[in-house]
Amino acid sequence: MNKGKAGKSHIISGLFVFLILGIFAVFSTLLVLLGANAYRGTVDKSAYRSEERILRSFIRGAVQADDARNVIFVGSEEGRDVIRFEYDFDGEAYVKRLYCADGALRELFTSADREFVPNEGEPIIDAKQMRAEVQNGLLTVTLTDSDGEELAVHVALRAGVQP
Amino acid sequence: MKKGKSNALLMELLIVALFFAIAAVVLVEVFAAAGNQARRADILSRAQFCVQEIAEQLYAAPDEAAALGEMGFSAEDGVWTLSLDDFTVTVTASRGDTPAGEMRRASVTASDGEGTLLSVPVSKYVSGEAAE
Repeated sequence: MNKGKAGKSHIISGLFVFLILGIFAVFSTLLVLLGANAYRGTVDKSAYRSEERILRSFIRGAVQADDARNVIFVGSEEGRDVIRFEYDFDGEAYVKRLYCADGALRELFTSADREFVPNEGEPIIDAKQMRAEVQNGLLTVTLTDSDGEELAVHVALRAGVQP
Repeated sequence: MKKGKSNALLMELLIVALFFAIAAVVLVEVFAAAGNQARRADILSRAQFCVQEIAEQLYAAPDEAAALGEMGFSAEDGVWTLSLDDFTVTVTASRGDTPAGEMRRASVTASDGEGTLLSVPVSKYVSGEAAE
């Protein structure tokens, strides 16, 4: 009788130990998952903002660098919106173009005589489409990313833009 | 003797579990703090983009009030306010006459419940003829 009681008690304490270990394992896993999720969320968000910052800074920097010289043109070439910057080095005319082609925002710097071939541009960052327009001295560049989300960048032109 | 051994094992397991529970509490607090920091950084980034965009649009606008109205701002006591998801943008604009033209000034500020996130000044000089 006593032996039976002792055996039962031994089984219960053994089960209790396993229960504690089980709970501990479950909570440890939950903690790891929680941490991994928090980390992934933070990294994803910061990567997205970083891309956005690169895009904004790139467009703003490119436009503002040449704004004072009044050499910025906004128009359409090869069926796509293009921001064109014209340069003159030692009497030679050069053109820098910003546009979207093959799923990327591209920059192409060539001689002004050379034909515009969109695929030749250096890809800067992923973007599906770019629209550019100027209204009352405000250049608005709208970029559509691969997820279809639109990002608008406004740059006030100090020297104006050519039609 | 066996019962004593079993109790000792149980105690040891309880102590280990307690130790890990304390470590878990500390980790959860660290995760929460990291999450909060990341959220603040995200808000600050968005506020910076937003304020910069508004400042550029204000600079180019011939009429600040009309431009701010178009952007969704509402005016109260000379202060223009736009409430967004996590922060509020306020704009104060003023015009000062100078002998040769007009000086247009504005201040674009983003703030949230914890205080000012950032503030960007906008100044534009419009010569006399252009201002008329």
